[in-house]
Amino acid sequence: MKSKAIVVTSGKGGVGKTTTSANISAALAKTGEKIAVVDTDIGLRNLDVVMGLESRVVFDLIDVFEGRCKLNQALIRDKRVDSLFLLPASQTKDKTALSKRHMKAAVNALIEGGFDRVIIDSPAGIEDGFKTASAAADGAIVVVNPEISSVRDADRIIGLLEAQNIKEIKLIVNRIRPDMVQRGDMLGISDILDILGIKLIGIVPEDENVLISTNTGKLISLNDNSKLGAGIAFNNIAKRIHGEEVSYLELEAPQGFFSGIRKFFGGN
Amino acid sequence: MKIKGIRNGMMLSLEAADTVEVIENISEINDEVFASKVSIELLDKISWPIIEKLISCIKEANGELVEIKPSKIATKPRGETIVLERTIRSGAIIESTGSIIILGDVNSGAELIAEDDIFVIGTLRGLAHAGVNGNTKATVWSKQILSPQLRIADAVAQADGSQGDTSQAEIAFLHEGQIAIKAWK
Repeated sequence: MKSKAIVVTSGKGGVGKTTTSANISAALAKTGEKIAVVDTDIGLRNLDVVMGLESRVVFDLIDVFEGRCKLNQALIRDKRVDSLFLLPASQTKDKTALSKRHMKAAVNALIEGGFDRVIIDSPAGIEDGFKTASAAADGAIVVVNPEISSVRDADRIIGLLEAQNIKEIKLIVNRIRPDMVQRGDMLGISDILDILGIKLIGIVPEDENVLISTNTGKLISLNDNSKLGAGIAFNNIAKRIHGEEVSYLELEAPQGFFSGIRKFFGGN
Repeated sequence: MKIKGIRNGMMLSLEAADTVEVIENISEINDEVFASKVSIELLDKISWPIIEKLISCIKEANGELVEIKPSKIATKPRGETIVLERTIRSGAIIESTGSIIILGDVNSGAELIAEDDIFVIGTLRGLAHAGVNGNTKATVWSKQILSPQLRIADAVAQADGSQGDTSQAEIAFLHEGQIAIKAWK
């Protein structure tokens, strides 16, 4: 992706925005990019917990905006990958404390300050929180679960992103269960792409290790070795964002599931 | 024919069902309605012999023809047709006083509202309401109609869950007050 500031969003809550933001940020940092991941879910701060950095939060995004600290003071360097930084949200303020102008200023300052990319974790919904989070973005990753309500909300979000003139919009299908798709109990990748009409950048299988790693603050994209797991999928997404051609491997799409997505990638 | 008294005399409103015989009958039974200052209003497309007959009845009754108001249907300007070449996504509402043509899909949660026809050169999953101001001739055309609900004029149809032959385009129209969908050929 050419975009330097990428907002991760979904419309619907609970589809895996924060987990995705954390994991692709870590995986991107692993490829050598200097990454800042910004939590904009003011009042419902979670990204620091998912990344295992909760204990190190001193200042947050709102402190920067309100002049209580410098931008660099609020950034937390991840000890596991030293090119990964977190800018945490405030847990005690509400979303009105965040303005589009401040957001743009912060993201521009990060990019000018030497970050290769800024990943912005958006709050759920289509109101001010989302609008502020996406205001500074030039690209977007929409996270969708293989269920009708999530697809419909993603459709709405894509419409709003297009209206904001965000050109580069990519899709991650999260929590897919190949066995259920095969039985016809779950929407398939081709069904989702058919409705949303945007380019796919990753497929993440349902994986209980995601939950385990989230609770312990260990990022699955940094730790997971299992061949069928979400960890590999997140690393592949990072490589695709970074510009590498990574084919949709059978480990992401075992069994007959693969044949379903084949036609969308010209059989690569 | 509707007859009502107005300030300057009588207002005679001709409807589609009116014929020369209807006017003859009125003039035989009660020619008083023609014996004052008379305005004629055309509520539909009315053929000339009927209007001619009415004028001659007014003359016979020594009435005075004040004015003929033209048919609103004939004079109503055609609304503009909206053509959009993109996917219409959830939350979007497209409204037109004429027809709507979408070169793309219309997704679930989007709404198209047109006074005339709706054409979707893609898959229609959202709500389409054609003929919204009572145009019962309006139709909805799509490569594939998957909407849970369609509306034409005042009629509402809910999908029964069945899916027609998806290889053929479909057209929805009003048939005896009910919305029918058939393959378009």
